[in-house]
Amino acid sequence: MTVNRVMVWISSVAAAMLMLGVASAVAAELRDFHGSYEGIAIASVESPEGQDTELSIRNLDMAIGPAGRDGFWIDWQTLMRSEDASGMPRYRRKSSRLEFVQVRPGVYRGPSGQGDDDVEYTSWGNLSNDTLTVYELARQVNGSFSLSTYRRTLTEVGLALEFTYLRNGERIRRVEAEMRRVSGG
Amino acid sequence: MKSNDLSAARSASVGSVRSRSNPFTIRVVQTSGLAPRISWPLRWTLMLFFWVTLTCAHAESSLEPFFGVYVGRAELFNPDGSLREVRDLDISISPEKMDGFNAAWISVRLVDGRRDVDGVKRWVQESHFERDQEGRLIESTRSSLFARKSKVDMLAGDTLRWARVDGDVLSVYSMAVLADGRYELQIYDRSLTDLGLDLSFQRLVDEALQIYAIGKTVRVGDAEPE
Repeated sequence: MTVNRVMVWISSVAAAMLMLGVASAVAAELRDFHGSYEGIAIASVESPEGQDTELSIRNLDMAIGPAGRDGFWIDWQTLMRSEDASGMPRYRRKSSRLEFVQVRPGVYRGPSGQGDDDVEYTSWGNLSNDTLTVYELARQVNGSFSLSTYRRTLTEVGLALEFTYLRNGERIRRVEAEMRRVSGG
Repeated sequence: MKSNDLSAARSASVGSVRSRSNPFTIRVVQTSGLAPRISWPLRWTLMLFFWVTLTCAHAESSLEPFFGVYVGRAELFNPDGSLREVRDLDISISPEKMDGFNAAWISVRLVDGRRDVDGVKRWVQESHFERDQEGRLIESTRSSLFARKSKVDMLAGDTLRWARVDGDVLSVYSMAVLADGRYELQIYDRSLTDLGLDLSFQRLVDEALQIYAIGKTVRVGDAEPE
């Protein structure tokens, strides 16, 4: 009886250790994302019927680093290429930097407040398994809103980025990109 | 059923009106007098244009057409389209101070289409919306008229609710950040019809549809005055 109890105890501890090992192998930590990345993204603008109506290509540069205690910052630049009426290529550059502080394990508070355009912004993030997600809610004065979601999942070469853009609850844009790590990690 | 399907169904029911007149055929007749004389087709067109513009401007921002008492029924569906339950509805939308509104609704879950058998459940909900300094319609966080407003903090577990009027659709949005950092978004659309209000509801968690509902109501009375 005693031997059986010891065996049960040993096997329980072994199972727990195995589960912990598996968990630590799967769950990523913030520092696993630190580094700089580059990649090319294909954006699709969806029609109300859910069919892709427009595709465009964007160059992305991104960096992630530590901020404050248990937080992180994300810095990115997007170079968008489009064509004008005469077919000449035009380029537009957008850049942004956001900082997030941890409010509880795996959940982060980002910048919030009212922009110059009277738009009310709220942003936050979460880390789940090997995906770091950033959300940005933007509310107009008339109640119309957009919700941007950036999912960054660790891959062997860097990060897989998925960006979706909802307007008043309907998805109208999606961007996917494979980003190669160029430093850090 | 995706959210896009819902919006397509909604827009299909609205219908459209197309003008058969060709605006390029309108002639402008000018005389030698000081003031230009305008031909009658153009005069009527301008009058119609101003009337439509004023009506649309009013309709875009006005809550008034929604005020009333409505009864009806809604069907709730699982994301795969299977019917989940049927509810009887009793809705009241009434004016509030500061150009806001109050929405109160009672829903009764039916059992095999009946409400006099075991298993029936009843919910009573009420929300007050008022305009902030910029004119946003947001749910009042005051517990009473004299209490101070508290700031909504979604990361502390608060739910943010706001409303939008777009022509003949009154939408209420409810957004919460879950414990794991994902979001839950609820969208209630109430569309004016000849009979009353058509209802559409969906609940999403990180864009994934969890449940949706479609309902119809008939107007049975006026809203209680403020």
